[in-house]
Amino acid sequence: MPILTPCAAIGEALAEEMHRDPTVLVFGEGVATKRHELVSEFGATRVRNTPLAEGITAGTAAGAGATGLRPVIDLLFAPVLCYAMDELINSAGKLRFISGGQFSFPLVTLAMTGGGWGVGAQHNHNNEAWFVHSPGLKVIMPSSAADFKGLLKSAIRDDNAVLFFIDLALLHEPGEVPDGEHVVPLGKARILRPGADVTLLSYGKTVPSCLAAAEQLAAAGIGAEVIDLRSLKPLDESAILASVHKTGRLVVVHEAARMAGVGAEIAAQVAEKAFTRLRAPIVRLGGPDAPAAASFPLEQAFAPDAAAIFAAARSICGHASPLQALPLGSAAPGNGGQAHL
Amino acid sequence: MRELGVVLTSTIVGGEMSLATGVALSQKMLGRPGIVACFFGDGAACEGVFHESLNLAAVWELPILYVCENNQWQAFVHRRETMTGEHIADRGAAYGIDSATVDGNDVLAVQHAALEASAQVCGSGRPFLLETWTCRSRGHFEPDDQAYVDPTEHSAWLARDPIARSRQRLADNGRLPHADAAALDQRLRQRIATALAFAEASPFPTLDELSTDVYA
Repeated sequence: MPILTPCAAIGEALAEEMHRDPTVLVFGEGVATKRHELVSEFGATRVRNTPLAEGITAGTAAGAGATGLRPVIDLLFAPVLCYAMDELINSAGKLRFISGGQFSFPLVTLAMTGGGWGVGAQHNHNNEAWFVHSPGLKVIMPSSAADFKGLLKSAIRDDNAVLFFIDLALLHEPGEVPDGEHVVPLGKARILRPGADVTLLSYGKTVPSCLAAAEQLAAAGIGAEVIDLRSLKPLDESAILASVHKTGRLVVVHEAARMAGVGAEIAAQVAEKAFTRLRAPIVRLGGPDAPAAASFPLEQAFAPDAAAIFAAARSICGHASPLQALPLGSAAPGNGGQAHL
Repeated sequence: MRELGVVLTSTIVGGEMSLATGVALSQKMLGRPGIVACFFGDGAACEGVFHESLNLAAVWELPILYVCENNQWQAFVHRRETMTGEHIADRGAAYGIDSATVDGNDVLAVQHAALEASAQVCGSGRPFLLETWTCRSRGHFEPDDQAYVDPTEHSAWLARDPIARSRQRLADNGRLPHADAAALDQRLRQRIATALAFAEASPFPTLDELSTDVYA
C-alpha cells in the first residue's frame, strides 16, 4: 500500500475529484502557488490564488456552489475562519433552509489547526465545535492519511457545506493510503481497536495518543476500545452508543477546549441514551479554556497525551459497579476484586 | 425566486455582495450567457465585503453589474455620518472599475443607465458600478415613524417620487392617461388583496418543516 503524508493525500483527493468532475475547482491564498501540479493538470481557471480576503473567498464559494460549481477553498488557519463566518454560517449554512430547498451549497473549506508548529493562539484554535453548533454544515477532522484522502473525496461529492479541519501535527506524518479509488463516507466513526472494558473516543491528533494509551491499558489488564470519530457532524451516534453499551465506560479526548466542546455533546448524548449502561462516570479530556500558547511545552499541554488518557481510563475502570461516581484520583470503591478493572 | 432569475440574497447587509462573485464565477466558468446584477445600498458599501467583492470581481474579471441604491440612510444613520464624499460610484476607480451615477428617482434615466452599463459588462466581461441617487420614502422597518429624519429633506425627496414622476410623464406624453393609471392602480391593489387573503387563509407550517431543507 502506498505511503503518503496527509498533505499528499489531500493533493491526490483534489486531483482525482477534479479529474472526475469538471465542476470541481479549488481556490485560496497560495493554493495555486503551492499546488502547482494541480495548476499544470487543470489550468489556472480551476486552481486559483485569492487575495487575503477570507470573507469574499468563502462567499464566492457559497455563490458558486449554489449555481453549479463544487468549490474547495483553503482558508489556511482555523482562527482565520472568523473572517468568513457570515459567509459560512449565515449564507452556506442557512440559505438552503431560507430558500425552501431551492439552493444547495456544495463546498469544502479546508483549515489547519492544533498544536505542533508553535504558531500561537491566532493561528491555532481548535474551533471545530463552533461549526458543529451551526445548522446546515458538516464538520470533518481526520486522523490518518487514508482518511484525509477518503473523507475529502466524500466531502467534495457532498451537496452540503463541509468544514474540513486539518490537524497541523498530522499534516506531514506518513501513513498507508489504499491504492485506487478510496472514498470514506461522512458520518461514520471507525473502531481502530476493539476492547470490552472502556471506550476511548477521539478525533484528530489525540487518536494516536488513545492507541498508545490502549497499549498501556492492555498491559495493565484493561481492554480499551479506541474509536476515531472522523466526522463531528453528522456524529456517528450508533457507533458511540454501541461501544458504550459494550464497555460501560467512556473517555472522550480532544485537543479543543473541554468547555462546550464536542466531548460535552457526546457525554450528554451518552448520559441521555445509555445512562443505565454506564458503569462509571464519563470522563472528558481536553484543552483548557485559554488561548493556545506559542511556547512549545505550553502548546503541547493542550492535547491530552497517552499518559493522561491511560490514567483517566484506569481510574474509571476502578469503578466496576454502576454509578459509583467518585472524583478522579480518589480511592477505588470497595467492590471486591475489581479495583483495577 | 429561482425561476425568475433571482439567485440568492442575504439579510445580513452586504452578504449579497460576497455571493455575487460566486454566481458570476459559475456564469463565467460554465459558459452561461448573461451577467449578474447585484443590488445593495450605501450601508452595504460601508461593510468590508464591499471592498473585497469589488476587488475580486476586478481581479478575476467577473461579469457583475453592481447596483448601489444610495438612499441616504443606513438603517438609522444618515450616510453623512458614516462616509466621506457623497458618491459610492467614486470608489470604483480604486479597483479599476468603471462607474456612473444616475438620478435614481427618474425611471427612464435609470433604465437607460442600466442598459448602457449591462451592455458594457456583457461586452467587456468585467464589472461595472452603477449608483442610483435616491432616498428611501419609508423607514428602515415597519412601523418606523422616521422621527429621526429631517422633515424638510424628506419632503423634498418625496416630491420627487419616481412613480409619481413616471405617471405624470406618461400622462403628459399620452402613453397612459390618468384614468387608465387609476384603473391599473385598482388592478394592482386587487392583486395584492388577493395575495394577502391567500396568505391569511393558508395554514401555518407544521413542525416537521423545521428540519426540512436544512441539509441536502
